[in-house]
Amino acid sequence: MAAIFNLEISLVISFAAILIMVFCLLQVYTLKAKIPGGVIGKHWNILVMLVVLFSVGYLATPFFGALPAELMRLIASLIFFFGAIYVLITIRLIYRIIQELTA
Amino acid sequence: MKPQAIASKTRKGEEEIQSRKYALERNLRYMLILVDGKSTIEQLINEKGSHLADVEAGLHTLAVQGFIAIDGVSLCEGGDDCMVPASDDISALKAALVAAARDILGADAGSIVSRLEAAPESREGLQETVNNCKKVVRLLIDEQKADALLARCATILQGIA
Repeated sequence: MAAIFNLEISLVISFAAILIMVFCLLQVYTLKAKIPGGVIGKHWNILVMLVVLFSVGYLATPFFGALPAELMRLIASLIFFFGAIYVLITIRLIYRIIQELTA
Repeated sequence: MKPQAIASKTRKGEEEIQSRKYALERNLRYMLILVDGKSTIEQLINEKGSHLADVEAGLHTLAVQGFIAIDGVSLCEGGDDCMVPASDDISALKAALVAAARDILGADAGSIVSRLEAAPESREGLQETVNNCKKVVRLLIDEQKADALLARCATILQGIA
């Protein structure tokens, strides 16, 4: 009973995460059309690629239970790695924006 | 010459109008009189100068000889005489800035043109708006175009060709 409850909770969280990521995907593409280039445009292209990557990864989460443990660990570490890159790019982008606006 | 570019009289052009110092031929002088710092090349050719012969070639001759500047930029290498005098006409300055933005940014000029058109009616206000526009262009459009836009706008605002 507890195991089924845990499974349902994790599925609900996974689906919520997928919905949020799909929303993020729509947002980054909508904004991309308004950012033809410049400092933000360069960073934005990388962010779009990462959001696409995360979306694919998130869409696969409901099927994680069927994957071998070794592969799951590899996927989890890759998600952490690209998550760190995403944060790094976001921080650098904010830093450059502040630099440009205060120059 | 681009049809949407704004033509302005240089100091040499103003001098010719006032004193006929350079003895321009009559047709070119008429064209020089039509140049008001607000009209585009297209308007000068198709509207104001429609009764004159070969206005486009005439305007080009005036530009090369340093009597007029196109979008605040002189085609003449004649030194100070070919500079556009700093204008006190804010709407003319604004029109020249908008034309420069359209020329440099092309299809991406929309939001910058809106900002320039909404700029305060003072030289300081225009300068501040241009600085802000440069930042927006650097962030959202293109870093090199931002520098080109700032240089062109500085030329227009300072009256240097």
